[in-house]
Amino acid sequence: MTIIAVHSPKGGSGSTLIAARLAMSFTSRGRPVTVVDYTRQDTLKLHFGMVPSQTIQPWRGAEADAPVVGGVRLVKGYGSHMAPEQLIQDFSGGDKSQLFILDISSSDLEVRREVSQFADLNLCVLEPTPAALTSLTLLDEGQSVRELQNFAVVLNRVDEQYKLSRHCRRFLAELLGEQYFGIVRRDEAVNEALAQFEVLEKFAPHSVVLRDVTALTNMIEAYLKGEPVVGSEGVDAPARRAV
Amino acid sequence: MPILPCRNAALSVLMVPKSLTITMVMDMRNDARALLEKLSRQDFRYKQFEDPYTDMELWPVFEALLKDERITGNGGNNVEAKRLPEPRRAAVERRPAPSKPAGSFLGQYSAPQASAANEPGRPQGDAVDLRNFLGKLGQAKS
Repeated sequence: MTIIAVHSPKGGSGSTLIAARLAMSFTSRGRPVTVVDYTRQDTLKLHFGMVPSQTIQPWRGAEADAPVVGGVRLVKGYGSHMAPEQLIQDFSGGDKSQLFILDISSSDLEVRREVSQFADLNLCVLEPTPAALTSLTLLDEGQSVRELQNFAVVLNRVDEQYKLSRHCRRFLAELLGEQYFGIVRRDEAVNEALAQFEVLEKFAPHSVVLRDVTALTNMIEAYLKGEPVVGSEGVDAPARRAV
Repeated sequence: MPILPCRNAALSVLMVPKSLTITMVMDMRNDARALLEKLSRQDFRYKQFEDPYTDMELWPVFEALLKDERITGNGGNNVEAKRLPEPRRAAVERRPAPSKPAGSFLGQYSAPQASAANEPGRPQGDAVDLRNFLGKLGQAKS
């Protein structure tokens, strides 16, 4: 099995969007995917077209508590009182093709640290803002960001109309090198889809977010296979862009 | 507003309906023109964002982060000394921390300054010259 932890040292950076979109992207490629929601706000379900009144109970061992939506199994890890590693083992069932994507709250340092010890990839989601960039200093892993292993950054909600957004992107690419996994551009269609209780593919099938997440998925797949992650401009590199 | 993807990382294009005011109209890139022709859409204005590396803004926040040891480490010399604990799950094979490309602009900098979260008394590096750094970056990329 493969474990991807999605988190951000700063809240509101869109890690839930990235976790949900990656789950659907990998599912579309035939990979069995389970998303474990370790956030309190319970908004992951909205990205799968669920409505607020539909609740996912914290995982306590009943299959009914883990609905499968769009081919993705949704598990509420927050409040389950089960250690993340044990929860994953329970669900994997020995299936090595299983992919687990964990959406971890920015404030839940305990879970983040625990998961980072065994995750195959710790994907940090940042926005192109000074506050988000500065939050990188708060990862507090006992070593610098550039020295972290199995760690990558994706820049979310990039809007290239704005100078600072473009410069943040370039700065991170140069700063992080292979740890920089590129961008997911801002698209209001994401919010509009949530407001309609629809999945993005249906609401805005040409959304740039879908394209960028496809490219991000390609990068992650290459990374997990141990293939070299070439270049530093993430999804903008022609070889990685799925068109 | 649809934003066209581009193959050049330093270049982006934006197309918006003509009804919206765009302050700068430039010669259209061939790939953008080809896409519009393919889509049979001629009702767009075109704007191209291009920031030469040499025109990178000297944002103080970038400089502060470059000087922060929590970001850049001790000049990359303490990678071996500070490995994360071994994973508890044997199947996980940790990839090594990525090496930075030779000639990376960060290599042009002196050691980052210690932060409050780092050891006190660690020797302080020289101040980072962000303009110099960006200038070298521009030379490398242009």
